[in-house]
Amino acid sequence: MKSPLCEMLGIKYPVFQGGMAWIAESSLASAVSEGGGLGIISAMNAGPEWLREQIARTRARTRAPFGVNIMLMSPYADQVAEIAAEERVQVVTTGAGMPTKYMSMWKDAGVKVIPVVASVASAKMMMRAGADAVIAEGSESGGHIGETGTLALVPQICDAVDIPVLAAGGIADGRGMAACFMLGAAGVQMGTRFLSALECTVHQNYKDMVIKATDISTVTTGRRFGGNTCRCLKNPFSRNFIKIEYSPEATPETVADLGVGALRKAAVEGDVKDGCLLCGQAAGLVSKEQPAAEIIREIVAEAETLLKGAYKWAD
Amino acid sequence: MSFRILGTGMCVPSRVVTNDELARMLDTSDGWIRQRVGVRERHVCTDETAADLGYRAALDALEDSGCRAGDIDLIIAATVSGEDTAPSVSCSVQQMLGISCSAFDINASCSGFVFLLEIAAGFFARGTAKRVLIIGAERLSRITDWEDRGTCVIFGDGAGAAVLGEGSEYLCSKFTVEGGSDVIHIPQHTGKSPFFGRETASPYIKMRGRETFKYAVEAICSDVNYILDSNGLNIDDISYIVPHQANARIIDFAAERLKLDKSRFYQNIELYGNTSSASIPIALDEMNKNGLLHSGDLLLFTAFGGGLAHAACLVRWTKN
Amino acid sequence: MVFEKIAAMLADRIGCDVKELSMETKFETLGIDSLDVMELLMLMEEEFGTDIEIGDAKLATMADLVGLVESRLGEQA
Repeated sequence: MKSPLCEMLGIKYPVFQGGMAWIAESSLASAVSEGGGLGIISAMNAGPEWLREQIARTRARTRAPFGVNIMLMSPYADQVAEIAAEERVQVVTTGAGMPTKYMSMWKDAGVKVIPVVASVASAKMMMRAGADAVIAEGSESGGHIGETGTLALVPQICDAVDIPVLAAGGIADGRGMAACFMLGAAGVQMGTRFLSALECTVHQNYKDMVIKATDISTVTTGRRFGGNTCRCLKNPFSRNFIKIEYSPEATPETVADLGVGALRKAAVEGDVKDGCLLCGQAAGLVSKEQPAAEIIREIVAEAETLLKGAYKWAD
Repeated sequence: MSFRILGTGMCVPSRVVTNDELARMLDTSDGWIRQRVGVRERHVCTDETAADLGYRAALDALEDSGCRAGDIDLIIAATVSGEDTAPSVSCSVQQMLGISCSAFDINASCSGFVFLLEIAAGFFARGTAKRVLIIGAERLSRITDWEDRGTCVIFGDGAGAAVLGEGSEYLCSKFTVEGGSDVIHIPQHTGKSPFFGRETASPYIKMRGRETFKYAVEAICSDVNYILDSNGLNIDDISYIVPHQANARIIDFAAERLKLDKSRFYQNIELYGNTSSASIPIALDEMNKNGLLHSGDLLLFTAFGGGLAHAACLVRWTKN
Repeated sequence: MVFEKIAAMLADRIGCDVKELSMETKFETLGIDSLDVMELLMLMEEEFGTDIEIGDAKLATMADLVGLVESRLGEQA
């Protein structure tokens, strides 16, 4: 697959692995990068020392480029941003805010900045702020999501900016990847599909739930008070969350508290009843565990075959 | 880290004064007021104080946000017309809410609400607050010269409030001050110090209408252009421009200069008059309660007034 | 020149015949108020690329407005 992202970042395939909190650490990131994609370590809410360690471990396993995902609302955002610059990671992806204040520090360190956005206006603002590319994430995605689906969102963002756009949300195979290139994307980011990678260290119970999931297995929480809409697998946690969210006594505070520590419970401890399993709608397409490199090769090969064979629909 | 708006509220006193009623008191007319200012009627306090209005607006905002008063970490109020310098409006509201958080007032004239957003963002950025209640509360009828038909027809009383929580929806802001200008002048009581030699000024709002008009139009135009340009946005990305409701003519001419349809600007001055720092939060609350806003909408607030100061900001609305 | 420009602008804005306007024309009789006059002034500022401070100038007639604009332009020259 040809893409300006490959040259820009020095990667073989324009495939990113999403920076999933509690899930995307050095083992998965290094396997994805070794496999020719861009592995990403999630700096989530962990402190700077944890991140430094993950970066070191990743470098021990691969010379290929990799990235760090920074949640800008994290109390550690400043420190983690500095580490990304000091360590000169190749890419920083960002969520939950404007990365403007770190932009010149990252540019000086040669770091490429690729924010995740869920709206046309955000994409424009990021481009104006100096982003090198954006990841247009549609609402099929797991985790925090915006209002618009990938199919509608990606072409609108492609029209609005002139930096490369990656598509994310609902992509789990070569069909999705090929489709996104048709929409104008120059690459894709996947989260859910990489959850099933052998090298992904998320708890086996979590992986099993993702593999068992179908097209209607996810649900969104946080819609009532707005600003924090999240997609996860349906389970007792999500049912209880929604019950409380829509109860008359609910407040934004009590609802936010419910989520604290729930992802960790699922991802690290394997509690799939009372933990929160963030997951995208494409989970129904994920059916087995595979090495990350194989996932990437399969998806790219399928996308290429489809794109090359497009004459069968339009000659 | 900045904030997101969890809820909004407003309160205006129940006594409505129409242009016709004013025309019976002063040498003016409904036609003149509508044409010159765009106001049809305004609300005027009969026994409510600015703090009372602020308190009721706060209750409204708390309900809309689903938060309890006890969750609030900080109250900041903007006012130029509170009855008491101490206790400040925010301190009075704190007492009325029966809570014990920090509270203080600011004076940034009609730009007050945008300054409140900026200040609140600072508290969130430092991590020293999780829930902030901001209020614009004005009893302008207290500082209006009711014998001056040029000014008393413009203003109204009211309060607007918002409850802010953690988030990152405060996207951009700009503040411009041209200090010391008396184009808009609101003197305080000179006092009776036997040592102070300056002339007594009457403690009522005085404005040089033409210059205020020019200042305001230029402020709106430069701020709207700045916010759009510095974010790589165009007007279609903005759901509403929410201006300080100073005078409908200002908004009309600014829209013309910006080559925008007037409908891009939310206006309700017809019903409330110019309520200074309460005008933007009252407008925001109306938009919210009337279902005009959707999650993801970008709102551009543009305020201008005494100081002289003008302030504008871009906020993403996240409530459904 | 200034008069012609203002007259053309005014005629366009209120939909009257430019030939009906003269230096003696009173703004009040045209049904336009002080803010309309400010709009004209600001359009002149744009037209001539200059700032025109109004101070306490009385602007009741076309002559008043033309005089103000010309004097500011004259100061610039």
